[in-house]
Amino acid sequence: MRSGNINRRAFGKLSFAAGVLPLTFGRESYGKNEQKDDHFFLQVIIGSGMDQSYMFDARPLELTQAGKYSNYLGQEPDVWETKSGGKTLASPLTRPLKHLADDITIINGVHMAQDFAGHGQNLNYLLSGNPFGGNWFGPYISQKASSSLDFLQMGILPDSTLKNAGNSLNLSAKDAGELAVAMRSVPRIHDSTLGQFILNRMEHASRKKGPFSKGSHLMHQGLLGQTKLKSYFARMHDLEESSYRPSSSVHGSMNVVSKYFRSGFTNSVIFAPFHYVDTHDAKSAKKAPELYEAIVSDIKEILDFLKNSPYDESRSLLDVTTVCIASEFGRTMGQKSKPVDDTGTDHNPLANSIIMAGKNVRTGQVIGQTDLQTIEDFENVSKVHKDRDKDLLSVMGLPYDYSLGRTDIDARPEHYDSSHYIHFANIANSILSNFGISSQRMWKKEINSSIPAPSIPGLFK
Amino acid sequence: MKDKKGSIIALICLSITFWSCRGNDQTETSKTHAVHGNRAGAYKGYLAINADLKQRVFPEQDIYIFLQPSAEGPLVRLLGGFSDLGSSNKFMNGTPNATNMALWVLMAQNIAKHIADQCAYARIEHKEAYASYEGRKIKINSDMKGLLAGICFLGIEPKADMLISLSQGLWMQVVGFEAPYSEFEAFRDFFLLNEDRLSGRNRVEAMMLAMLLNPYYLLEQ
Repeated sequence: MRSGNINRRAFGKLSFAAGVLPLTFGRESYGKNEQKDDHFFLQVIIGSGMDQSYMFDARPLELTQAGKYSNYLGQEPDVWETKSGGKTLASPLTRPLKHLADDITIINGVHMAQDFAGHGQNLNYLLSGNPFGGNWFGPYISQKASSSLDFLQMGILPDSTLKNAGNSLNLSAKDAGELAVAMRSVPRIHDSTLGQFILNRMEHASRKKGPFSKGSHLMHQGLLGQTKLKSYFARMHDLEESSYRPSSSVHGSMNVVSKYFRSGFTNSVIFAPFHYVDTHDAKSAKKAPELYEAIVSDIKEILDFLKNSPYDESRSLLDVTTVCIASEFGRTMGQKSKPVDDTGTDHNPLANSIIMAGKNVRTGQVIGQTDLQTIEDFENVSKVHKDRDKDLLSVMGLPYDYSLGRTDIDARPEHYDSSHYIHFANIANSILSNFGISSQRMWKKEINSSIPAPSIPGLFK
Repeated sequence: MKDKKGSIIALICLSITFWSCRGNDQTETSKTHAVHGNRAGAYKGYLAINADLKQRVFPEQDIYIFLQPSAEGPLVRLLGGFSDLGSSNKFMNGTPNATNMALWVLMAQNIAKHIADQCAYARIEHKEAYASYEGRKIKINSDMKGLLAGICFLGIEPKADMLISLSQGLWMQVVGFEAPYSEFEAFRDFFLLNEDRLSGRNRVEAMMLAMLLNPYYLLEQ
């Protein structure tokens, strides 16, 4: 009898544990994606052309004093160094990012759309490898992971022309909240007799060729996808928000990004927080210090949010997300015939700076470099630079040796050969390889070329 | 000579067939590719549908309230519309996907329910005799009200000729010539042969939903 009592008690305890523990575990977990190798992509775009000299490609004041380079901060740059030996001159405005020095890799001197200086052309190039618009690779990442939504976009990119944006959402954080509420009210119709009739008409209209039929097919698929869609939103509703509370305005957006990733709804996000960086006029250019203080603050909050927010019990969001932070081009040192203390800055597609972080990135590096670092460099400019910028208003990315994996700082080429430089195509293909995307999707080294641009050696593990 | 001509024509036809069937980026990559640029196959968008329903059904009310409280709210943007930022005026959210379909379904269902609620007032002549939605009395187009006065009261087993006649009237009132006649025929036959035994009110709701979610109604052709 006694042993029976013990057995019943033990059995009761075990049953209790078996029943309660999974519930507790499930409630406390931060949402589990069903994918085996959870991997997400966050593209942060500070649109309209960031001035790299206020970030990680700064210049000594001697260039300003010599009338070469406008610098409204009026301070010498810091030497930005990492444990793995990465080194560059960085504006003091980047000091809030210092604790992340070993969590990011900086790529300087990135060439953008060749022969085009416009926002739209370079934004298209940043996203698709084609100045006239094309397919962004974010959807390939989501499709490979079988996510329902190709990508989420937060913020506006007014001049871009993405061809594969059909299965995407463009939302602000507030929009996302309203959408989530609306989703709870969406009726389930497709499994009723009427619903079947409605589906039948969509399917019937999709039978022919042509864009209308394709649209009808997409409506049909969209209606069939309602159950799965609602499950994503239900999962999002159950996910706890990160306890990390950045003080800036990016917090709401990052919480949406977090929920959309953790629910499995999408694997790709474009986040474009707005900052007015297109400082062609002197008045706005003089506000650069406060402008870049705000930008650095946003970048810090985005990366800190990812680093401090759990994805699951053992990983942070940064552990599972590859991050790329970019603008569509850099900016010139000043403008022709304008004094450096009263000038605006123009577009410079010859020298963009990119920040990479997160999953699989070999962090703590500084890759690439621009020319015109010292006064002496102005006397020793390459012919290639002079051909493209005869007034020497722009810095230009130096040639990069892909076989050695380093900048060729002494090179002074006579002729431009795109394969000797870092283009964003090289970075994009590095990202694509990192995600295991088919080589058919690789960007070509030039628009009319059939040869894919090589990945940057050592950018990823 | 005739044989030769026939062979040439056959060869040309085969070539055209082969050309139209060959894979290319437009057909083999995502089907969403096809609706970009040329808007055929994309949603007409919220403004177009709103204008249409204001003319045909709700003369004094924008339809955003069937989705969200404010016209400036974000959800109508997800139904397709032009953005006017930057140098380009782009039509956004025009390609059907699961999310915007869900919103169109929600809006269409709310409109359908509201029209069906009008059945209670369809035979009342008083100028305030309209159903409310979210506390607002929404006036119905007088032709629409006249149709409802008939169709709402058809009963569970209506006479076929009455159902056909009134459903055609309703179809012409809401869809008009947006869709080919074959779509009306399918619509008519569904409700004629449907064994769900719908009440007049519920039949109106179902008819409205079927019309509003027809691709010929929602998509550019």
